[in-house]
Amino acid sequence: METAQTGKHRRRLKLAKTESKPKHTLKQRILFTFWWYAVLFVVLTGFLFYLQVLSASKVQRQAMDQWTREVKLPAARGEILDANGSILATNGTVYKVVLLPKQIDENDAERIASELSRLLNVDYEQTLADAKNQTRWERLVKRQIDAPTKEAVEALKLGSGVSISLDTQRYYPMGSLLSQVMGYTDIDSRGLDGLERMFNTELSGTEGAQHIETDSRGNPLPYGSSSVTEPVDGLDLVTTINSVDQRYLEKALAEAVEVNSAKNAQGILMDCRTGAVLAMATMPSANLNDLPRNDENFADLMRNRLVTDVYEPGSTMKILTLAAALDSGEADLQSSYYCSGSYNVNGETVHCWRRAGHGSEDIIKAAENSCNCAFMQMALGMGKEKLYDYLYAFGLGRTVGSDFMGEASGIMMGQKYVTDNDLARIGFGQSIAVTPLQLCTAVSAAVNGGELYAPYLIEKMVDPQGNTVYEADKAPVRRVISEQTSRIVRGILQSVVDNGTGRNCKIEGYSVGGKTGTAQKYDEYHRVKEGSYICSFVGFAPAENPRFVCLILVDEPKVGEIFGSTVAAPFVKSVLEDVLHYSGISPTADTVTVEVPDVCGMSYAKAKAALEEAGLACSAQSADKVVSQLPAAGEKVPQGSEVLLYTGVIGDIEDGEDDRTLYVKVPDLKGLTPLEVYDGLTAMGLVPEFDTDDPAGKVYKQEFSPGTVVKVGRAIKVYFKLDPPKTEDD
Amino acid sequence: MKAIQRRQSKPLKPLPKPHGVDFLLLLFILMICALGLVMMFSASYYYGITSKGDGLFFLKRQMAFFAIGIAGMTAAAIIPYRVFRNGWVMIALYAAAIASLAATLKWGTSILGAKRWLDIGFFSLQPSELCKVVLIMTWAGIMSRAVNMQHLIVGVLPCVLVVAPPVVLILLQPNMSMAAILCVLMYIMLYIGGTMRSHRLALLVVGIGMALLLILLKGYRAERLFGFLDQNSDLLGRNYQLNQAKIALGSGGFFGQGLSFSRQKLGFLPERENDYILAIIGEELGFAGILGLLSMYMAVIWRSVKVAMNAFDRYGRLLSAGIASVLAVQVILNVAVVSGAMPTTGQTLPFISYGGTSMVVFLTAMGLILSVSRYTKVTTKNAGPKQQE
Repeated sequence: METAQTGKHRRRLKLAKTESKPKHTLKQRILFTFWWYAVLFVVLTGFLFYLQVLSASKVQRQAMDQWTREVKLPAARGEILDANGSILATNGTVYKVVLLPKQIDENDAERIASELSRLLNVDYEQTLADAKNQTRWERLVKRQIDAPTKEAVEALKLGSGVSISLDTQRYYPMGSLLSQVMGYTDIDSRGLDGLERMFNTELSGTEGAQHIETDSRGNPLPYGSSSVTEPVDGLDLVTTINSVDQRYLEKALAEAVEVNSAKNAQGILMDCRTGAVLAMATMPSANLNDLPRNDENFADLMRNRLVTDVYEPGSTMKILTLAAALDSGEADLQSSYYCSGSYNVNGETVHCWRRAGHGSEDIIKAAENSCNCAFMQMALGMGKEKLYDYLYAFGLGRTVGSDFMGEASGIMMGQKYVTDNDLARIGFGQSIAVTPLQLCTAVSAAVNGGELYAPYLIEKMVDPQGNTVYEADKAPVRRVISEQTSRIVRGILQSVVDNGTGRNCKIEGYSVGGKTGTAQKYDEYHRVKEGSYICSFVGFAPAENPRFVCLILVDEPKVGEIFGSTVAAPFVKSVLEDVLHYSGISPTADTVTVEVPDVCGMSYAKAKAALEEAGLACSAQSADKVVSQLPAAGEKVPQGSEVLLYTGVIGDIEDGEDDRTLYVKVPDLKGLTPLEVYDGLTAMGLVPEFDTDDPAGKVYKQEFSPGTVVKVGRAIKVYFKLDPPKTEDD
Repeated sequence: MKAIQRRQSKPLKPLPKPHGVDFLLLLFILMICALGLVMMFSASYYYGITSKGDGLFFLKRQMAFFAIGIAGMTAAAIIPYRVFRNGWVMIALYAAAIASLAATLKWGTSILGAKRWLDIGFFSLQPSELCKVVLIMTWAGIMSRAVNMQHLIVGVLPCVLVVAPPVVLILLQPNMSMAAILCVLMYIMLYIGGTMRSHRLALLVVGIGMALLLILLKGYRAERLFGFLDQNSDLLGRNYQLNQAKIALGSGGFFGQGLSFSRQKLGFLPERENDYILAIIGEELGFAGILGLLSMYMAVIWRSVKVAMNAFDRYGRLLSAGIASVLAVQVILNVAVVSGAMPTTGQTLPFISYGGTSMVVFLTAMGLILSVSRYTKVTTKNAGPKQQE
């Protein structure tokens, strides 16, 4: 017991024995730990000060990004207007469907995806994946859906995760009018071609944005503020185009294509006093509201060939040679030429278009005959330096306008390399390539008194407040020929129409000047393409004091006689005639003008009587009630003119939301010529469909018997028969 | 020999007549609690509405926890602290803590592969929180009895043996950071208790070695540790929470967005009413608010240390200093984690973060310090003659 106790004590002694006393007392140690904690607190406080105050700006951007949701506020794209304020391009309202995945309940995703894929014809799997994708604020499902579809989607009540918002779509109230010049836009209303692309920046304006405060799921905060950057709407473009003139031109070109079975027809109508382009068209065209974007020839169809494509002008070029020769003193009204059917240039024989030759002729006769030999002599007489100076002054060899998309500068041989042979050919329009726009501009300068005006399309730009921010510069670029020379050129060209190759352009009651042109086409290897021609005619009126210059090109006509005089001239005449009437220029004194009475609503017999009483003739497709007339009531036309009466039944039949469909009665076409059929049917809104490639003769059969009621836009097949048998005396 | 006999069998001096509790300590605790309830309500309102359909959901529960905590604190303050030095009481508390940890492993709620909570109906108990304070009480009891703290076997070993079972059980949850915090607390207690520096250094080397071993054992731990060093990448994944906390702190600036005007609480910052509530405080009250809050914590710790230094006996000193250390370490860790100075440890902000265990345990622990404060020899208000240890 004793030993045990002693052992225990010894053990305790050993355990209690200290090698060294602790340096500090317990109180001191407690205090030390406190100081350690205090130091750590201070360090952390310093670190927090760094995070919260010193480097706070680092997180600012991130914070704003996640706290706010940006909603784009689109700027309205500017409208495009014609010179009279008619709308050519505007914006229509459509809708878009957007998914907000963060607001979609997991269980609803499948229903939403299946309903949307059914209604909007979108992929189910993709929509389902989008609906479940929580990492995105929103996913676009489909754009540009129409009002009925939008209502159908709304009716499903798919919850806040399916949002419908406004979308815009470019809308062209005049359909196919001006299509190549206008161009088109993509789904986001960004201009891709034509005016839409050329002036995209001006039309677009500046997009605005709204920042909405939201929680992490994207729900707007009930008392959250939102900042708005207002969008700035685009500028409105006021063009020089007159939509009425444009319609006349397009109508004439469509006829030219149809009647000549041509590949296409192009035309420009220009105000030669300013360079303003009043009308510019290529046929065939396309409906801008329903473009065949997937068609392989789409780019070809939509190209504004009048500015992008060059061609050999042929005889229309002679106007410029003539003007240069007269102005330089190389030729005057007394000059005379001899044409044997060919001309020898340094040992090479260049033929006149008439192999038999024109014999001895003065300069007026040479122009009337469009004699190549005479113009070769004029060009050679001037020499290449002088002629080139004039051609450059006329604006050839470089782009002339600034409002045109993709304008080409034409091809002129380098002056150094021009041989006499080339020079002779340039004199009558070969070995040189120009754009139709260049030629029209140059001819305008030759006949307007001698000053070159840059062609332009944009009269002015107007901002949304109505202020004009841009106005076209209408000052002449330079004087090319003297006023005196210009007067002589006008006289000679008037004579061409009165007595020469331009006969087909004569207009009753007006003086008209002009020049025909026929040019060969070349294939891709620069070889003459046999049987392919471009027939053109450039005309101007009134001849004494020109205002309108009209150039029409018919590309690859497939009719027997291929000359500008027969292929293109009648259509220039048609355009100029319409335009002159419309613009209110009175015919010369020997014709009496009368005012067209209003006959709309009358029966055909009554209308006919009323018109005859006024001294006017009339024509109509049927004896039904008159629904429209051309020219319109109140216009002044020469006595004896024909007024075209549109007759038919017009019914308003509900078809879709707000499309009112017109119905007309098919007229009797028997015995009519192709041109008459074309005019008659298109005037009624029907589409003639010719049975043969080369419609000739008179109608002997037609689809739908006369009097049948059909929808406007309906194609009517027409069969022609040569009767009497074809005579070869043309 | 007689002296030794006396030292060992010296009966404890009976506690004197108690005086009032340390008023400043109580005041600062209640101030933090008041601020905590307001901020917790602000931080949780949006989440309450969107997830529970009741913006007051979290506030109501936190008020209940607070009430229980106050009851616990009052009880602990009234009971003479020396009751807890009693061997049987000590063993009972320790056993209860171990049992709850074991129960957690068996019946605990598994969240993301870790079992840390024990669902006991009204709320989820986090036994490891409880364990921290129980261990401090156990260590204080052991150290106040130890013959020679300078001795490795007598002084150090018992403390290590006591910490081993909870550390193992917590590692099995797994919750390595909590286990590491227990070891850190033990280290602090061993220092306060007066062990030899060489023993502590040896313990430190062993501890770090074991920690490395555990880290190497599970690849994801090293990944997390090193991933923490690269805080600016993967902001939507691994670093999402930290980045959101930084956005909250940064947008608070010096004076804050104003009470209730936090945006980060609107679903951007996870754990906003919980471990990351400091970020919301920083966003709404700014750096100024955080500075004020940290000052209040500092005041509570200072008063606790003051109580510890003036405590009537060694047990009271060790107990108060230990509990003050738990509080200090936890606040430091929480601030460090929220501000990105340390990898995530899952430590709540005492008296403020939403959660029953944390609230009740810390208030009750504060009650223990208040109890010690009733028996201090000298009050700080009228500084008497300095007392020797």
